[in-house]
Amino acid sequence: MARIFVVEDDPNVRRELLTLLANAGHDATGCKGFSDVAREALASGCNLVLLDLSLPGTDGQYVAREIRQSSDVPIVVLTSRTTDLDELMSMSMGADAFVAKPYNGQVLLAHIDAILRRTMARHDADRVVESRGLTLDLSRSTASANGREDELTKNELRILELLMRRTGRIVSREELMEALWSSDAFVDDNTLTVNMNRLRQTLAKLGVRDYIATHRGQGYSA
Amino acid sequence: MSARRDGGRPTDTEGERSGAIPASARFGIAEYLGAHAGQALLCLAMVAAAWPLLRAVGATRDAATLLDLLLALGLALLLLSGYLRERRCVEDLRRVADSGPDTLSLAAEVTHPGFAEGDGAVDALQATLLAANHLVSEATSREADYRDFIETWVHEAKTPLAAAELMVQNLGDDRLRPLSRELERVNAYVEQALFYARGASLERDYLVRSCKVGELVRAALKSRMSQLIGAHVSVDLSGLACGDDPDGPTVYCDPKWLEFVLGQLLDNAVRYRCDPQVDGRTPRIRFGARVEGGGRAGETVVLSVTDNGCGIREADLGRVFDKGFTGANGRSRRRSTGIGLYLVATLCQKMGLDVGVDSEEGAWTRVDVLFPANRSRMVS
Repeated sequence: MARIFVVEDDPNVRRELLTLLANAGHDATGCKGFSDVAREALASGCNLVLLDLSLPGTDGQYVAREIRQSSDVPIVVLTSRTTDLDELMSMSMGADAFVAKPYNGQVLLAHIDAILRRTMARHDADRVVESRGLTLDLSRSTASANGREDELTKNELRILELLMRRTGRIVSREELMEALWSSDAFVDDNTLTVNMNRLRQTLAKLGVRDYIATHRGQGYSA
Repeated sequence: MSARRDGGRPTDTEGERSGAIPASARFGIAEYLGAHAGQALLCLAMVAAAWPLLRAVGATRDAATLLDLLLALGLALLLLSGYLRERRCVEDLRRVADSGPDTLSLAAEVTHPGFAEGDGAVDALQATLLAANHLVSEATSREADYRDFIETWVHEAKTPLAAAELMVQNLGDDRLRPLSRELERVNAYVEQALFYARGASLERDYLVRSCKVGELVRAALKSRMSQLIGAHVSVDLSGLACGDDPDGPTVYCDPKWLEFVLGQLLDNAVRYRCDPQVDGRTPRIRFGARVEGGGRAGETVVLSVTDNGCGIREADLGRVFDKGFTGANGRSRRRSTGIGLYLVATLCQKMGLDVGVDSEEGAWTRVDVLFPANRSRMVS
């Protein structure tokens, strides 16, 4: 979906971030060194930079300012410093968002998505997921199959996206709820059940039956 | 029955500091004579004995009277000058002895009176003051040092926590969900250590900004996402809306601090939630916001967090903000430290917010956070 450049000095966190982003369909690369990280980021032609504030031999805020001098690429600051001052400083250095460690992967992805939606016109064009004859258009919030198309609510869209990205794998109810909570929809069990039923009805209208399977006590799969 | 903690309103002691000497510190002439009774008696005896003596050595009656009066006057002036010299010193020292929190600054103002006993006392006072200031500055720097360590330690601990949290999520194995919840709890405890150090510190290191209550609540909910979803707690945010704005009223506080405060309240709501099997109701947390005294100087935004959990006994209600207090609930349920609400009260007090709790045992608990709508406290 988007090319993301990761600047993080802890090798474990960096590896997991790259995996998380790759799983979500992004093209993620990590920085190689820290001496000239701003130029490396700009050279990568990325759509977004994930930037840790504490770096060996340099400072994240300095890097953010350097990037900002020659580019408008969105910068998401990741940090374990939890003072408000750091956040304000980062914002004044030109960062677009500030996510505190330890981050929930879903919350981080929701942040990244929100920024990409704002900043990347091209990004919208590729925001389409396809699986087993069903096409999901994320920017227009529609599902289509068999030449028919229907609109989905924000929650239905989010649920279907997660299921389609994990085609063939079971996604638990908790995971679906976490994905919804991450995008500010604080649904409870009942609401999720209602959303699932509506989604199935919508898919049935498109002529796609039994697209979502229920696995008792485990979750759903598409 | 409800309990309430007030934000710190510093009491004004400036007024009485440089004003008149308080009655208790006054050193009158009678008291001086009492303290120097021997000298005074000797003077009287000398005046009494002088007249017959002068007569005996052949002075005329008038000359003896005149000389005796002169002697009496001289001795009286001597006593008076002694009194005046001592009075300032004694009153200064008494003022220091009677003073409350400003003892150190008052003691620093005492000067040498110019007579041996007074000078000795002031020397001793100044030496004590020096030693006390030294101890205070040592303790302050030790505290600052310890706080730095805690800040750094928390900062370091969060990186492996982040790595572990992401690993669990990337593995995408549902069996690891409990591990993710435990990591969230570890993080909550780590944060407690950080905010305990911040709350105990004398520094005012928070930054007050204007924020929407809705944003604060949503950030806190996300930080406790796994626990709330895992415990099947319903969240109702509809009470936050204020007019057309679903995000509710604007308040002035340090958002990081307030997210921590709300996190503690959410932890309690999860820990003391009702059991659907036993209580016949599903756990629910309701957030509400309202503006009280709108338009007036005392305008206050009240953010309330209400759960339908096990509630708090009336006898315990007045003490829930006390450090280390766990009460009947804490004893019967696991892992109560008596730190959470203490930190809530401490941090709110530091930010100048009020916090109150009300409850009905077996039914509900409501915590109110009161924000004075006073922009003057804001740091831009």
